[in-house]
Amino acid sequence: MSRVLIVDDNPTNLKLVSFVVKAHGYEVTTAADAAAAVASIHSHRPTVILMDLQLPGIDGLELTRRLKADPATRQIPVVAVTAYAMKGDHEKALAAGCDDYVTKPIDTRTLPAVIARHVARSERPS
Amino acid sequence: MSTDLPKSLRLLVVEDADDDYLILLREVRRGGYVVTSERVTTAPELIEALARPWDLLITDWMLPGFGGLQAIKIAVAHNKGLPCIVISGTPNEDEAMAAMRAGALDFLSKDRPMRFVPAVERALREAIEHRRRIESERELRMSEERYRSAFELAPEALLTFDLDKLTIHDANIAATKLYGRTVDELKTVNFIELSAPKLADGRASLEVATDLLLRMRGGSEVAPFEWLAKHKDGEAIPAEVHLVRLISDQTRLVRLTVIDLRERHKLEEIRQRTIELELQNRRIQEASRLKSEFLANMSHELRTPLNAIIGFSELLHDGQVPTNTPEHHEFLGDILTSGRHLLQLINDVLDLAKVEAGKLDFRPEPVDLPKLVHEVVSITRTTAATKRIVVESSVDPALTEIQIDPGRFKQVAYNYLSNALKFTPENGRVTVRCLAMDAGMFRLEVEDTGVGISAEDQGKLFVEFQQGAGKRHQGTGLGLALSLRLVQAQGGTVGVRSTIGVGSTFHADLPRQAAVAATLPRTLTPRSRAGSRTILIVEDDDRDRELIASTLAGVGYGFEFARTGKDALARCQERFFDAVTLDLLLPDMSGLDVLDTLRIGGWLRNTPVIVVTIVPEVKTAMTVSEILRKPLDRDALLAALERAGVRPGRSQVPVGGGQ
Repeated sequence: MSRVLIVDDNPTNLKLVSFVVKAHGYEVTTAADAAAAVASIHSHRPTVILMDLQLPGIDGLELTRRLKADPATRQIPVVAVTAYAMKGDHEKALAAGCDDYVTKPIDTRTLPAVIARHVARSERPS
Repeated sequence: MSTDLPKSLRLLVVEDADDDYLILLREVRRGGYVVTSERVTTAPELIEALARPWDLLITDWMLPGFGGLQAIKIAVAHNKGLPCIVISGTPNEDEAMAAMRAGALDFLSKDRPMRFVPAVERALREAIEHRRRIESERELRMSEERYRSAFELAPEALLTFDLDKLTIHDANIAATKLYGRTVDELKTVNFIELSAPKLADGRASLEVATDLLLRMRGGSEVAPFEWLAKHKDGEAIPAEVHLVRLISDQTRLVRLTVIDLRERHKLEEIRQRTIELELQNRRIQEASRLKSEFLANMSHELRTPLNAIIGFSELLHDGQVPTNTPEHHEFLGDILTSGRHLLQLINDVLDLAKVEAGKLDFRPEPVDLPKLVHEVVSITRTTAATKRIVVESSVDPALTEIQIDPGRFKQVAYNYLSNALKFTPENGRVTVRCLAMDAGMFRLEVEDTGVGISAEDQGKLFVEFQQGAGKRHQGTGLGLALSLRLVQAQGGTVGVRSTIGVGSTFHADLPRQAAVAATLPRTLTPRSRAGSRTILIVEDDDRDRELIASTLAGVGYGFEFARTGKDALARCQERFFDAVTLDLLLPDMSGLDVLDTLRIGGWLRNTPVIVVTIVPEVKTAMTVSEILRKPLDRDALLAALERAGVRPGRSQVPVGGGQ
């Protein structure tokens, strides 16, 4: 079963996204900050990461940069899920290495398709 | 023969007789000279030969068609420095006189050739001296001219001043321009007429100048100094003056260099203005940046609760969550909570906007402070319990007769308390206190055992959306910014003390009795409170004046006196006062007339005025803060000032808010 790591420091958002992802048959792990995310990635390697960009301490952009710089984690697709929806925020996310960008409020009906696309790409034998 | 004479001699001879010429040459050579000579016999030949360089001319006195006198005149005319000697076959005194007058150095007889060499030596020596003299005269003249033109044409105003006569001795063109007077005018005008009566620092020019002159006369040197020169038309010209003593035998002269500083000042002004504009520009850019940041943050903060509201609603609406399951109920709760959070955010933003615009209502009423504190603590009980944080509260029993807007007070207390809970780890402790302060103030204080705030972040705390460095916490990010404005609008101040890892203490100092229907200041930026607030005491009765002064001084106000109405008007035009106490019966005019004049003239504008009078019934259309009766009650005066929002300056530095 494909595993999705959801990184978000807001418990309500975490609950919402977890529910949606689980409902579509994925296994879910969660993390509320960068350190917990890194630990989770190494113990339960996810197929896709949903990344909130504003995190306490090391933020989502910086965490993504680090994951993309590490050969061990570079291959895991990172989808930014963020309330930063102003002009330039999308570019910032892509520049940090995010593979996709979804703004909050999320669309619970289309988010699963986004995840499915990246799961398919991630699991395709290279 | 002296050794300093040249050994070679270029000799031009005017002589018609061959024998005489040869004798002459022989004698000169015998004297040790290596002679290069040429002989001419006519005027044209002489003129032609004079074009070449010669050391000496020796001429016969009598020649056919030509003569020694004529030859000397030609030589002088064509080669002024060339020494000439006449040799005559028939010498007499008259001829000798004529020859010497024409420029000859010697007049010899052909009969005495032994005299030739000494005469040549003397002539050559004299010629050298003559040339030296001419040279040094020329040099002197040139140096004088150089000095003259350097003086005349110098870009700075130069004056020479006679220390004994106390008059100007000379002045250059720049000086005439600077003072708007001719050199002759400058020489005759009383020198003090060339200075503004007072210097920029207020000292009298005459006194300073006298002192300087005495020092110069006494032999001291005077360092360059600033001066205010005066143009003929009266304009005062800022200048820098350098004094130099001139070496002179007869007179004691000093040279003044007067440098016009107007250009320098103008450049300095332009430089200052440029800096100001740059700063202003930077402030505008910073304000614009903060505004964009505010909008970006606003968007983010609105989207976050909306994410839960829309997301969960969508799930429920789409039937993704079966009804009658715990999740269904939980999600509805999340929608509710997020909706409330969103409402809170919107309320905070609106309050902030209102208080910024000075439109927020305050309704002070007598309140029970312990009850208010208890209510606020109750609201946060669940949060505190979840994190197992002990919340304690205490209210100083002396804090009775508190009259404030309860809603606004709870708003500030809640902000402080919810922040404290947010940043305090589990099992921590939070304490809410209300403490009595002097001068009619009380302090609300919330202390936590939380993470603490770095000194750098403390400065940003009360700014919108500026949560701690890199930290993302629940809340609108507007609480402290709003608290600051709410407290300031009620005439209070806020502040924070914090130690990283130990905890933070936030406080708000508020008046015990907020002014009823206080008009809110349009601008909420706190004034500098480095010095104490200063009150003008307008009072002609000595005892009352002392009573008011000691009352004010006792709690830290500054004060100034005015004994008459006229005096009061003058004082108010000189400086700004934070408040005025006004007696109505003044020796020269009525206190109300004084007030009228000041209000209309705009010197008092919104300054609180407290009338202190024995007049039992005062009818006035004018705005006075309060009317107090004599004999004056000290506490009533202080309370009136408090109500007017004028509290004595405190050492505590207020925390600056937004912009």
